Amino acid sequence: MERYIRNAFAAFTIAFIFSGFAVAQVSDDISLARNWKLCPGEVFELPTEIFQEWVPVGCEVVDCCPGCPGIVDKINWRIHVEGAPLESLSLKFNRLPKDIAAGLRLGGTAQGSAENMLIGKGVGTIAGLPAEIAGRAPVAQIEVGLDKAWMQDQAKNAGDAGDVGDDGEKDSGHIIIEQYYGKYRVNEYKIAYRFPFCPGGLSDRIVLQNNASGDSASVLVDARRSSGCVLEESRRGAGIIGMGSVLSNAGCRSEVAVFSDDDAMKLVEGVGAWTNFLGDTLNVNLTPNRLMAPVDVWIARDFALLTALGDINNANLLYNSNNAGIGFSPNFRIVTGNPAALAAIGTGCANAPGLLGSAFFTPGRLNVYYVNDAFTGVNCGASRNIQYVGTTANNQTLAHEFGHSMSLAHTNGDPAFPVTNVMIGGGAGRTHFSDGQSFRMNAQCSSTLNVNGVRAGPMRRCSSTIGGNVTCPIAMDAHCPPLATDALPK
Amino acid sequence: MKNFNIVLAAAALSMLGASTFAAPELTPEQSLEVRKAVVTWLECEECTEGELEQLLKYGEAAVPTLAATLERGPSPATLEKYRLHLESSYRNLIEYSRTHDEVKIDQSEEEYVKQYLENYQAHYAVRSAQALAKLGGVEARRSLEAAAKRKMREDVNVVVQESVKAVGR
Repeated sequence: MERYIRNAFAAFTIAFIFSGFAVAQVSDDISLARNWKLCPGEVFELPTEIFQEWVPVGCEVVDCCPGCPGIVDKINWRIHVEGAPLESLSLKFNRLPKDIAAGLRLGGTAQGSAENMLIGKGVGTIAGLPAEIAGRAPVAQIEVGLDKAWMQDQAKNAGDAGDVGDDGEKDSGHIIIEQYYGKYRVNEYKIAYRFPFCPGGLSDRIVLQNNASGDSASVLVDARRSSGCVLEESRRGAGIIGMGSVLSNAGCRSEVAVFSDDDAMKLVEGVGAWTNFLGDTLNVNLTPNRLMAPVDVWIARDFALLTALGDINNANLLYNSNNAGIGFSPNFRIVTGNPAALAAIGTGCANAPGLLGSAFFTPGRLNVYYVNDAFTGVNCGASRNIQYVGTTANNQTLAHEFGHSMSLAHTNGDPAFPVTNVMIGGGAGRTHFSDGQSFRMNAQCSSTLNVNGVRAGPMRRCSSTIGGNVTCPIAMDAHCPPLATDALPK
Repeated sequence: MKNFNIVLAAAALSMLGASTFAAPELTPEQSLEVRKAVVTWLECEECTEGELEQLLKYGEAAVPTLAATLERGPSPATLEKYRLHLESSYRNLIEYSRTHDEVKIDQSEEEYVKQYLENYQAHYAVRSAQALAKLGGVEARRSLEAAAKRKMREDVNVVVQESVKAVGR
């Protein structure tokens, strides 16, 4: 009886806890897993893998569903295919046991089989998927299908429209996969697609010179068009980039930022190449090549050298492949047998102030300490040149901490950022920097690239940054692209 | 008012600590909130945005999931998501190393994936133990004490032992 009363009281108490929370709208709380943005004209030339994703079958947490009634064995998928540009989603399950595959029940716009399923626009459902099986979880390979008629109309209309803005929501679509146990949502996945109008034509143009890897560089343009001043118009191209008609500045801000693999970010201020006539050319020389930030990597934990090497490799890959124009040159220093070093280094930022004047910190460069403590990583406010990496780091932790060292803050809670952004303050599948972030890492005055003298070039005082112990002069130019400004994919 | 409710509720829950506690059924919306709070804490890197405090507001409702995570780690679907990412990362690194001398790959794909998967599992165990120690109560203590008897990585073991000492009844 006593236990019954206690449990009843507990039930009441927990209900009371939740009564204090305004329950969020369930359908609007799904984080973006990916966010694709493409000009309609590019879509037909892009590799098909851009539209392919893999979605594991099963619950997000290991007990599946906190506070659910009964034992969770089967789950159901609810798949949304929405927005004018999207037509369908094809889906193929891997590692799904044959008996389960044969017993799937499809509804809504879903049709086909586990090996070859098609979800039409609207909502399709799949019932009878396993909540968990022995071994690796099954995965669904999904591939979005575009509405080709819509895309062709869009490309044609864009060609007719001249230099007008894009269509906003009319250009957008999304795929949402919700996994349910009864009424309980136990996992979810969302991909957003956007196909904005991108003015083109070779009337006026930007010509990229010395593009080291010949990649499709990302270009952000501030200029004047017939519609007025435009900021951060986004383009991609390897050499000659058509701009449509760009007019003389006439009071508008006029600058170009170029982000390219293997080249340093180029920021051209006060562009005077544009006139009110057609045929203007702006040449942008992409030398020097990528800026290499020197890094002292202090190995203060046994067997961490190989891990550190892998982490630096991954940081180099992530920064370069996202066009940030930044790389890292490591100098490994093994101090595991040095008690004085271990004492000075400690296991976290509490030791940072003392480290700064010690023999185990090199001024003017990034310093990374691999230490024997159970955490992932941290960059220290006492000096953004100091970061610690612990024993439970993932393969993006170091890249994330370097982002802090170059002035980037977390992007948590900003719906414009997918959970794959490197500066999300958590998660283990982070692969992406936005151009707005790359701009800040390069141009922000408090970025260690500038503080350490790795970069020479115009600096800015951007919002949405962290400074540590460096404050940018109030008089410094504060114009920066919005943090989420991007031009995906390459 | 909302915070006042939470504080009152948390205080009331702590009074239940000495009893055998069966977590009550939650509504779908409540279950989702708890799951999100748990995952946010498990996944956060520096955890500077109040992730633990947010989770602690859910009190006993979060204990079963944390206890299960301490025992079993990430769910198979979550682990698979990370495995797919690691496999893709390794292949990208190999491709990248062909044109960039600064990248030298000294591990096989299997070694690369295994190392980071083990770290991920350890990370989940550490975070679960830390949250259970803060939440306290009979079930949290029981879960931590059971974990302390299991064989685990040394860095995780240190945190679990500390958590057993710290956990309230």
